Amino acid sequence: MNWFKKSSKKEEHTLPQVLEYLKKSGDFLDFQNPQSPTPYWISYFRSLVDAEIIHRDILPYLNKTTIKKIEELKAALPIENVMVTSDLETIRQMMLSGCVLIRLNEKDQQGVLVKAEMNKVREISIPEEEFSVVGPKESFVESITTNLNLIRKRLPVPELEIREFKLGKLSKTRVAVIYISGIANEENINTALQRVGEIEIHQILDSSYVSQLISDNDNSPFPQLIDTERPDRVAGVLSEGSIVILVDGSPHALIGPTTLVKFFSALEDYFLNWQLASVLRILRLIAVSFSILITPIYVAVLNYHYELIPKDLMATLISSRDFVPLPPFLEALVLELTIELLREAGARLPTKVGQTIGIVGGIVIGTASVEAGLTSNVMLIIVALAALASFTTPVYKMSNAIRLIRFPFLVLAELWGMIGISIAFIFLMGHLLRLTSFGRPYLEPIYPPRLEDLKDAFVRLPFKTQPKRPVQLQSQDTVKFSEKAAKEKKDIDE
Amino acid sequence: MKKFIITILVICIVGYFGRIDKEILDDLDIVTAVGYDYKGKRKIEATVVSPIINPDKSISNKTISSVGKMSKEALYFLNQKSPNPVVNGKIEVALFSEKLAKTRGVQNYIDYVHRDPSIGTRLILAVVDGNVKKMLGESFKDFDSGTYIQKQIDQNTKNGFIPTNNLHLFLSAYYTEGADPILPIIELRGKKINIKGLAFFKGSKMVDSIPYRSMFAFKSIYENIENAGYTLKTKDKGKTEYVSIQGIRTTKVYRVKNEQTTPEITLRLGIKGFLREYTGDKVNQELIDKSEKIMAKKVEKDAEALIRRFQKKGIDPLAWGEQTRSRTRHWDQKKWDQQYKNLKINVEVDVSIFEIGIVDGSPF
Repeated sequence: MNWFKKSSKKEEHTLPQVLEYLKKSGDFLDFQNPQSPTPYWISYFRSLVDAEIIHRDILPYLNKTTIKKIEELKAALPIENVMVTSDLETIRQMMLSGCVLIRLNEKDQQGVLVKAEMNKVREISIPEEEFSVVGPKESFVESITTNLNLIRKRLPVPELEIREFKLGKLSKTRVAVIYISGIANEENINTALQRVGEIEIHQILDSSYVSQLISDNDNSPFPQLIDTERPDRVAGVLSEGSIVILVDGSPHALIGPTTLVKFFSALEDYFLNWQLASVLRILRLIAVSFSILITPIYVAVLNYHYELIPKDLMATLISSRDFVPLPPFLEALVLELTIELLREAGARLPTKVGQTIGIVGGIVIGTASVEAGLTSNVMLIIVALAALASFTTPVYKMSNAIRLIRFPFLVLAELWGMIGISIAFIFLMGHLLRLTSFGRPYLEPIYPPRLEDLKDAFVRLPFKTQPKRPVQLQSQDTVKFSEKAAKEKKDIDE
Repeated sequence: MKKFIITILVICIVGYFGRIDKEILDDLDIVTAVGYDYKGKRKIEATVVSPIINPDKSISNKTISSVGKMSKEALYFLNQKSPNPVVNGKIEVALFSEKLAKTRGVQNYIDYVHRDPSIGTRLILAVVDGNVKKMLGESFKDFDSGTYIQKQIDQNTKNGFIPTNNLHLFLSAYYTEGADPILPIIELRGKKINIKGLAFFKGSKMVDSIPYRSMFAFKSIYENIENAGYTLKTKDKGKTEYVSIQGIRTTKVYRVKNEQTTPEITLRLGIKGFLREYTGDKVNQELIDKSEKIMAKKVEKDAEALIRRFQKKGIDPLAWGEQTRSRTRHWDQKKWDQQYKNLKINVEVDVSIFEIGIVDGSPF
């Protein structure tokens, strides 16, 4: 509220003065009807209030019945959120968040605040970033009320607790921290509540603001909180003991604490049978290491380690590089940048134009540059495959991180060959080992080694082999379901 | 901030001064074979081959040779003669002319290849009957000559009669007490490489050789054969018929008696194979028994002849010395050398033919 006080030149002390000030806004509406059975003065922001509520639920009662006292009016209106107040601060705040102020007299210092906010939001639609062929097709929208409804629907238990905060000096964004008490670890809950509560910023536009403000190490390229647009994923991790943060105005929920391997598990893994899911997960992990390492290894081998090239491949490599004027490092850099350029252009343009750009860039530039002898076709294949492999990551922010850490590897490969790649790898491992998410180790089932959690890391074993919650989350109630009862399957005639 | 600048500075300094020389693949002359010819008493001629890969992916040869006193010197002159740096990391074959092997020994040249860390110990060595330079300059279709020779020797090791042979095994036999190295002999016949026989070394000098036809017997007592073929001559109703036995696998067991005093070695050789071709009428049990007997006798005779020959020349390519040494507490090489010539070595061969094909009538 400090902001308002500073900007206003003089302080308002009476309600009419406040209204007079608000009238400066073009969308502030103020009208009266002293002749009706109940004389009334109504004021509200047209842009924040649903006119239908006023016409349907407020005006008819005022025009028909005779009300003398303001408490009577509160009882008469068929709306639940009615409040009688004379506090100027509250009145101003509530009106700015979509309330209608009704007074019975123009000079009154007291009024009734009726909640009539306009709730126009996007319809719930199909998840786009985390699309899955099987499984639910709902995704979060920009309204936190709808999002909370989507979560509560899946977890109808009283233990599901929601703690709300209003953050941002200007934006006053509703931020909700959600957890299941009795399952989520107290320490994790306190960490999340403390970090969210202590956020100091003027404006929050999206959940990624919160994610950047509360993550353990904000200098890391790796995201330390999963952001998801799927309510089913949120419900799944809540029941394991994670903590979820929702932000009003953002269709992405944040999940923490998390580990590196969780970023490579798609929700679809739980909808498919465990063999297929495990294969897909391993494929994704291979794709990621491939994506990071293949271009640097190619550059290192071509620059320093010709001995490593198999004899039969040598002819292909040499003949493809025959007319290429650039050294392998520059060639790789140019192609990597071209692909990043294409991706960026495709992402900024409308879908249809973006597709065209993709085709033009991919086919025309690729083919033409090979034919012109500017790049070798082997390099083109490698760079394109690496880019493709980086998109297999289910969490978008992680795939960005992977594309980024490729470049230090590339530079070190150029400087010191394979030794450079090893050095880069050592630095990467050192960084990952130090990283935490809500204070819990980021590289968890690998280090510290937790055999129990490996059942749902690189592979996904059947549900009945995992009767316990992940060790990493240090859940208060470690048992998901009774292992014994799950194993005893009986036929109906037994 | 200070820390950050120092880090960047250290990385830049180490990065710039800590580099090693770049060897960009397409700017190299990658040597696939190296050969040494005898050129006068104190001179040798070194020849290297590197493939030239044309833009249409066909491969042609590029040979460079130079004359020098030592192998290293000769190779240094090679670098002088080439537009690109000559690198050794992909050498597959090292060839020595027979004359060089006989008069000077191969030790000096082997020393060079095994000290260079970029050359692997799976390098194949061979002795060439004739001019090495000419052989390496020959163009073989689809491959450069180094790769071609390597492929042919490798193929003949896996499916033929050449004993397994590479730099590692050569050096092992060379340095082991009680073993002497062997190398295959190849020659250029027409436009093709021909496996001519085996060369036997005493120390680093070649002292003896056997022709191709004795190589089966040698390989069968030298190591376990995985897959080879053999043709027998038999008599059926007065006519000479031929039996071809394929897919031969051998196993051998050594027995050493009286290690401490006068050792006596027995080698039991088991040969298994299947009959694949017969020029006569019908294959029956009788013929199989007969073939087994003939083959056993023939191999036994050949093997014993070879062993006598080695004993007479005083060379030990079959590592009998090593066999006895590994069974004796205080083995004395001098004593062994004296004993070796009169050592009693028995070879027992057992041949079994266990398959004759599926269409012909079954005698089993």
